Amino acid sequence: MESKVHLKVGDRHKPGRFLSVLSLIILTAVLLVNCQCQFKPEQPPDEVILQLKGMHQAQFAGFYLAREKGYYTQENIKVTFLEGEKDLAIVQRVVYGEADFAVITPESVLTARSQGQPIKAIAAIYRQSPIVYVARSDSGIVRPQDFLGKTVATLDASGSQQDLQLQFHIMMKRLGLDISKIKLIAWDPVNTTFNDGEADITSCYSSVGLIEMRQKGLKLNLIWPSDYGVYFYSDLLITSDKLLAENPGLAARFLRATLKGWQDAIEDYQQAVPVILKYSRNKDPQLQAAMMEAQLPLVHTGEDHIGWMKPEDWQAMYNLLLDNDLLAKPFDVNEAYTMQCLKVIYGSEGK
Amino acid sequence: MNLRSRITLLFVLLAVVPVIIVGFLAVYTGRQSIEQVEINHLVSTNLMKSSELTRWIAGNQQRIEELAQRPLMVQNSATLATKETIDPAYDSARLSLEWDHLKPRVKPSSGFTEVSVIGPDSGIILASSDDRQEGKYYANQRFYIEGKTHTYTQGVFYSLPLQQTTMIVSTPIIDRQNNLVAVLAGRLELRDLSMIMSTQSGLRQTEKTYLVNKSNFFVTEPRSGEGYALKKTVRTNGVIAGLSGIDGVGFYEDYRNIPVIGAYKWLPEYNMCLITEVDQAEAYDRINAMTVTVVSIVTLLALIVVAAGFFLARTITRPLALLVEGSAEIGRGHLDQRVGTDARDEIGELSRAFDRMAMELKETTVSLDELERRIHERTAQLEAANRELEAFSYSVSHDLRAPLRAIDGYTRILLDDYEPLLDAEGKRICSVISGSAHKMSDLIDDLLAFSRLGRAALNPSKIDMEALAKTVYEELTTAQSRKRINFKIDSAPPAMGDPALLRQVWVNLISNAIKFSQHQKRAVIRVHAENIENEIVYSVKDNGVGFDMQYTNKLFGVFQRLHSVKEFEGNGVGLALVQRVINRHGGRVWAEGEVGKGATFYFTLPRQGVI
Repeated sequence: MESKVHLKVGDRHKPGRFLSVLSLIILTAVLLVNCQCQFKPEQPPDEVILQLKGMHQAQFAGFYLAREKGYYTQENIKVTFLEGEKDLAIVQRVVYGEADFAVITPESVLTARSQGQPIKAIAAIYRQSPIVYVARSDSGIVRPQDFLGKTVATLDASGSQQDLQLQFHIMMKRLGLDISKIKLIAWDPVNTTFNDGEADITSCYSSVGLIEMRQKGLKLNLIWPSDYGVYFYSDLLITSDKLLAENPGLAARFLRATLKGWQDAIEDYQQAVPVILKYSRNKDPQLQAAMMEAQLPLVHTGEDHIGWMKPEDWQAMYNLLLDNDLLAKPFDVNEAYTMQCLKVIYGSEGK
Repeated sequence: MNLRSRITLLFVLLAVVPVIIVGFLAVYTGRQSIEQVEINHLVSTNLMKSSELTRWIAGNQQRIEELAQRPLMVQNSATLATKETIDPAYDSARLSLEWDHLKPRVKPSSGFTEVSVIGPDSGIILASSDDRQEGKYYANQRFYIEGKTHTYTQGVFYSLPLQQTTMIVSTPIIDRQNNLVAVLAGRLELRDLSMIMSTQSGLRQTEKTYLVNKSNFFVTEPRSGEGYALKKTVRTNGVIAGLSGIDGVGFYEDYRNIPVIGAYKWLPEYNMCLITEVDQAEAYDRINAMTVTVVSIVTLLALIVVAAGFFLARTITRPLALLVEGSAEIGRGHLDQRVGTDARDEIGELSRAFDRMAMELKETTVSLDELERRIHERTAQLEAANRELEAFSYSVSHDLRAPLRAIDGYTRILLDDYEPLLDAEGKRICSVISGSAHKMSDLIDDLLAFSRLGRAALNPSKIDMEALAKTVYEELTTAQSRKRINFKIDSAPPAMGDPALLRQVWVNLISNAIKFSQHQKRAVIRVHAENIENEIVYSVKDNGVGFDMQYTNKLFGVFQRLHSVKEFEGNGVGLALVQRVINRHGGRVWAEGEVGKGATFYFTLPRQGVI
């Protein structure tokens, strides 16, 4: 008897509960739709142009991954990559808004800034310079002092690789070595003069040229500028003061997506190779993988977040250029870079 | 399901189910304990490795510190720091440092690959065990900056110039005046670190220990490959937990996506996480081996039990089957069949009892047969004797008729033709002769009738007994005599029988009743009938002279009489005839009476066949 009564009560309540649940679901759905309408307006994506420092290759893998994996799209950014060319005044492009962001060296940033160009570095992709001077291992050349009386291929007229020559001069001057006792000849990217013996020493990038030479089976002595007090960042991501002032959010969003791409690139560099091959003119996967491997310590030093910059490093780089009379005029080095975007992403701690 | 299957199944259930339960529990608890052993092993490995790591670093720090405190080290370093390179004292100090102190430190298994003295202000390597390093500039390196004030270990990092991972211990060289003379830096032999990590304490093939830095990069090579250290990241659950500062154990997939049991330990002093992992496949190998053993045992046991159950069931069911077969055989009449077994159990007992039964049955059957045979024999003898007797009586009766007729005929001729010649006495004698002849003729007729009755076939039909009795009564009496007799039929249900013969029965019984009550002033005759079990019992009762019950045996005999002919006429065949008719109909006859108080005659007929 009792159970019958219970049953009746239960039956009477069921439709009521069902209705309330249903109405709750509908309400939630309506709210969700409203939220989406509020928070995700159908804004057209920000179109951004990135001026690269050189030809498409593994050097820019993080940018490719950020685009291919949709990190830019997530930030509502549509990015166009421009390859670097000889004598291209990359800084000018950024200043005049022909490119929104660019990849250049700190040497270029500091010299341009000393000339009053309104650009700033927002992150350091390469936190060490890949520049290295190489000699054959049987040459007996192991340190810059041994360069005296030898032929060095390091002169270069073109803009984007001028750091090769610049760091060479800074290093020799720092060590008090008389550069006039060295025969300087033009550097060429495929190291012809070094290969045929004309040059005893050639400058190259550890992330590109060095790999190619090693692939040829050459045994080499490496002389690193950083071992002799010449410590530079390399590939920096820069933008204009104007963009930073007018649209700081865009700069932060662009950087966030970019660093995500770089994070992926170094997490498993082999995974990045197929993406690189989509862009690169060189379609040798082994070479691209080796380049990726070589640039890992440049991007990730094991100390800080990738992209992070330190004031003392900037000060040291500034000092080096200033000491070598390479700046048009002294200026506050803090104007050459900004941590504002990095801090948006990582907070104020670099680690 | 037959008995054998049921017994076998019962065995399997009783034996296998507990074994399976026990086996499952064994595997389960075994798994638990092996897991715990594995976890304890991993955790203790981690503890051991971390303490080895600490000891290794501390040992190296101590050696660098000892070196930095040697008087000659201090003195020569001070010379290098203060004198110009062109000073002859500089070169001799440098050579002394290199050959007497630095180079001896980098012998194999010394723990260092390079030991250098770095200038206190410039950060330039003044002297080194490796000539190539001299002149290099370490001013911006952390180990140099920190090493100016205290002993410092720079964790594993990738040195771009050396193109390899490296770890450096540095310490200040201080003179007696407590001035910083130089920084002594020793580059550690990372093979020692790898050795610490890769040396295995257990027998596990897949066990591996490695270090991961804060940025998720491998610091040491994991066991399964090269090219990981500071080149590849690892984001397994264990590493993520370890890097968040937790010590613990987990079950997860490692960087190869292979399930492992892993212990992780955060090393705050080095900002690294120590991971020790073992493949679950290997860890559970022993469990699986145990599972296989248990399953094998269970299977084997089950097979044994099934076999045992089967055979046991057979020992039970086989005698039963023999018993069934034997009983069927006995049922078919083969009483010599024996099913007995030697078994000492209940079934054996049963089979032997069965045999005894068959034996006794056979004996009984044999005696029955013998009896039957004898009955047949006797019956045949009796029948032959009967036939002879009947033939004899028939022929006697028949043959007696002719002389009787002659006697009677000649007596008549005497009376008719020689009447005048005879006197009264002669006439009387003649009539006596004639009367006796007639009587004898009647007697012979009765005898013939009686003997015929034994041979004649019965023609049974349904008879209205009441009507028959009444008709017979009326035929036997006259209107005159009926006045004196009170005749009444209480009930007389119909019966099956030969109408002529049963009519004779009524005739004989009713006429007897009339006859023996003729001296009564008022004769009372009652016909009665009632159903008793399968029979109808008819009776005729009178109030006549009755009889003495001691002669009741003689009543139904042939020619047996209780009264003289003078008293009551008759020839002593009537009741014998009644008995014979009734017997042939499957009934019985008997009588009750008392002298002077009447008699009652009973006969029965089977109710079978009466509708």
